[in-house]
Amino acid sequence: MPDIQLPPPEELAKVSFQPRPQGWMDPQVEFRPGTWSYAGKPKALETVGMPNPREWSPTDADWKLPANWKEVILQGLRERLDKYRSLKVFLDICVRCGACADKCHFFIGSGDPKNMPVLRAELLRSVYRNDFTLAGKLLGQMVGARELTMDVVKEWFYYFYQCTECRRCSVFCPYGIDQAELTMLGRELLNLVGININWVMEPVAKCYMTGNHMGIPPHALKDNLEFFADDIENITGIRVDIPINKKGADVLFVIPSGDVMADPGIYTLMGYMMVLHESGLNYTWSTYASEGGNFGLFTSHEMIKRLNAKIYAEARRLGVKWILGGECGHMWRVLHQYMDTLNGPADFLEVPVSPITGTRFEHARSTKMIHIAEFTADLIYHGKLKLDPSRNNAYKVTFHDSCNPARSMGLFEEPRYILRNVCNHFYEMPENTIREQTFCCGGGAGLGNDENMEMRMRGGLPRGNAVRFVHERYGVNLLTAMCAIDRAVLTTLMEYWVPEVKVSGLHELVGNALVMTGEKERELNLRSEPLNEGGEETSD
Amino acid sequence: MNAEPGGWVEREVRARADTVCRRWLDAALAVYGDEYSRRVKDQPDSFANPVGMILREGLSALFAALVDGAEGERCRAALLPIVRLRAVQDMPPSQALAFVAQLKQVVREVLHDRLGQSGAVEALAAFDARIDQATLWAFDVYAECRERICELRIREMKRNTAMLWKRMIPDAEPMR
Amino acid sequence: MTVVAPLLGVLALAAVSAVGAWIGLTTLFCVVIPYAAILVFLVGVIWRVLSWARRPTPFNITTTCGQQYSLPWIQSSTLENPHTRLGVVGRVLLEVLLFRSLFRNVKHEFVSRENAAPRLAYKASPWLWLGALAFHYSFLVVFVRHYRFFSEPTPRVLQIVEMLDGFFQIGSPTIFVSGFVLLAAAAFLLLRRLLLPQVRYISLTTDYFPLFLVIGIALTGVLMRYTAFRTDTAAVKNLCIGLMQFKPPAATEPIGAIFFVHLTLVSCLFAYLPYSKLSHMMGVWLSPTRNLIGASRMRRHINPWNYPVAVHTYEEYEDEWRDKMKAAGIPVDKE
Repeated sequence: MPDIQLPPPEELAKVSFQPRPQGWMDPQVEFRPGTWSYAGKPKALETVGMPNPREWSPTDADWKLPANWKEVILQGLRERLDKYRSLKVFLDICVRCGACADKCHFFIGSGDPKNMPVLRAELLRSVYRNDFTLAGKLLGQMVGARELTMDVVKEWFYYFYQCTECRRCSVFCPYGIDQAELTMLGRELLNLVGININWVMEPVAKCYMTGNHMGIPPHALKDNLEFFADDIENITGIRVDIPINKKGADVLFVIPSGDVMADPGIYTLMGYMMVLHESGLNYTWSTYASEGGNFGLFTSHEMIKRLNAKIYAEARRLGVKWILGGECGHMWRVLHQYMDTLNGPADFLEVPVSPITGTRFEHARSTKMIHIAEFTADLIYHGKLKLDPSRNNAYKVTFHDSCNPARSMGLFEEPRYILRNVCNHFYEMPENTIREQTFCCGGGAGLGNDENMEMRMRGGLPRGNAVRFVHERYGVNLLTAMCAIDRAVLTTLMEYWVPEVKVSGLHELVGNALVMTGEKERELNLRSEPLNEGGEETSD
Repeated sequence: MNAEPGGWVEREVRARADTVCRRWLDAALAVYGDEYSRRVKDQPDSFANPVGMILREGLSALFAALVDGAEGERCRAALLPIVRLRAVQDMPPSQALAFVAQLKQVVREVLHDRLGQSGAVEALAAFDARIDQATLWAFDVYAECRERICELRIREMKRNTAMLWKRMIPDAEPMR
Repeated sequence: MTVVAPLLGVLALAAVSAVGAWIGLTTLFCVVIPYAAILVFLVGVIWRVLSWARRPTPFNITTTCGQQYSLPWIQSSTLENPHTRLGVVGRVLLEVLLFRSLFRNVKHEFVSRENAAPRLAYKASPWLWLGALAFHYSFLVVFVRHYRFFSEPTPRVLQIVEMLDGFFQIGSPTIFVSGFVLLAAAAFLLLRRLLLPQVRYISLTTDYFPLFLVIGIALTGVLMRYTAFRTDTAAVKNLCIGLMQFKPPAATEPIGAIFFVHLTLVSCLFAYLPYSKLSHMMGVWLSPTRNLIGASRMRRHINPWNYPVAVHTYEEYEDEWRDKMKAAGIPVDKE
């Protein structure tokens, strides 16, 4: 027997894990770097006349709220309880069955129990119980009621800005309780006392003044479009026209402005220009309605209306017949579910009819606006576009359903139909990660900023994991999405979780495959990379 | 007795690989609260439960690499998925990487009734050394992941303003 | 505390009613409390439903779980993303009758990659869905069966229900499956709350209380029917019919403490229902993400409180940018 004695197992490397709080009722939030977003700048708030503009940071002990902040928030809650049946019903009927608990990408990735949708809702519900229900007033904490304290407000801020309003939980809820609705109204309450984030407020202010989130002024927008036209000419030999603010056009074309500025969205925009040119549609861009996206959705219902108003106004001014919208996620939630209600009726427009195919888009007969995927799918179906899918042979494509077109619209088949026509290698991710069960990119609802990177990587894990699976199984190297935020955020997400996979928009692939009348022999794809090499794996 | 591949400890734990990996997973899950770790353990769906999948597969791969006495490259590759995950979860590095060292305890627990054998202590010490080496590699990978995050912030900002760059510096290298 | 308090509450209710039986407070426990409970229930249900129904649904916030109705050659999903009123009716009924959304939790596709080649497999975890279905449907059958105490003669429909429910006839009395299923399902839902850390974490006193209440009711019901605590059903029926006709029997023959407990717990459940989470029974019909028509671009949804807001008009915009626009050759309204 050896003389050496083994140390008993319990004396080996000891790691004392942080004790976890037993319940969720005591509010406690620690603002660690990488998990929250910078506060809204006073200038942005002043531009749109929102309350309490000031310099502050979530890490400050004092958030510099007005003295009567509590009354303001509770009064705001009271008003909203009267204006939204959704709010009242959702606060009243949750049975805490737990079906939603593990459906949230943030919970799956982080393990923070307050990221379970049911608990994120309880943060608001507990205050509702305390001040608006008899049981809560009488029995307090015993029935899950909490007083609205500053710590609760901080907790609201932390967790309402850890919800991307993706609505996945509402798909699984037996009563259809929608955390996105509660987050929207929760953020609306916080905005009443000036609590918000800059990555939402800055685009809101810019969109209000210059017409788009990026703050691109009219002449710069034109410059950029011309730059893209130059690139298209280099690649195809065709000079596409760039109608801007053109009165007498048939169609107003509205896109998310990210596509004018950000890589890889710009290639999607080139795809739009090529398809619209080739189809011969008499359309126009607008420098005033130069943004379909609407960060009002992440601010307040009033702000949705204020920012959205320009679309119908511009359609009326230019005298178009109907409106066409580009590939964007939350933009389409607003266009599909809010625009007509807020700024309609659009009785000065006509029911959209494609002049090329004669198709009458009955499903948009009231709102008078259709999605470019609907437009292009219709063109392809009627054989109006000549396509060479082999030009996308370097790509093995999978499709990410963006949350809003999926769960607030149901736009599933049109993009898939297009994909099957413009590329030869298309593979679906597992069924519980696509369509209505699609996983968020982790950066929606204003969270796609870089200071929040760590939280985004957590939230994007389920998506990254599903992409990794199709990458390993089928060699997928391109993730296609119909959303400007996806194109920005997923690219980063892929660089972390699956570096071998790049991101594109749908119309970038259409642009690659599109055989334009009179074009020269194509050697480059829209990224100006040699055809059929672009999709090669790059070293990490 | 030495602890070369095929040594005593390796043979013993390889024969009990399932038990070791299961207990190791339990230990690695201790950083999370019950309400999460239970789900990670029980949910069989890899896509609804990526954390469970990454931990389960990663630990098995790392275990196999360690008992095979594999080279650094294979160990790092086995470490990467788990460390990449832990690098963005809400915990300090000491907790994020504790799982590697926890294997020591797991091995002792699993082999506790055989540790009296002659040569067991030396064999165990040799295996421990390999685990220590893996812990150091894990720190390398962790640091790379954190650097990667900083780099991603910069790359993303550049991409989001790609047109400014293209217009100002037309010949700039396209970002790949 | 979260678990013990509601358990003690239900036990206290049971004890009080047992004592009431013992000292002969028949009128209080068999007449006053049931009447009061029904009154509280009816008022509560009406108040609750009105409190929701009078509030507007300003926006069409359907959660779309299937293909939209768009191009004629694309099959749309009538039930998951309805574009007609009929489709919405179907969707809500599927939700109410079959717990459609909960069912989504059932199918799991998972991949095992033990060996290098990935392999797809399916595994079902239908427990929450099945448990919930068993709970609600057995409760419904038990509820319907009790109608026999309120009607003379027993209606034909009820006899059929009883025949089906008593399918496993083993001697006398007929064993009704529903009561046992209810008990088992309630126990399952309770154990799930207690044993799954995730569900336990989110559970409140108000989640345990109704479960204990239902278990108490089912337990006393089963005891009365099948054990030594058997109750004089003729006396019960006499009482119930009397209550129904607002002519409660003046002096009922003693019925037994266990019946007091049963009746009191039932009364509590009725009185509690509209004021608690159990109001999901009504609320599920009114959930805006499920009961609105999905095709919101087809017909305009009206917001009754839609109000005018400040906007940045094109004229203001052009005033700010006119020179630049003209220089860039972009058409302007005012030269």
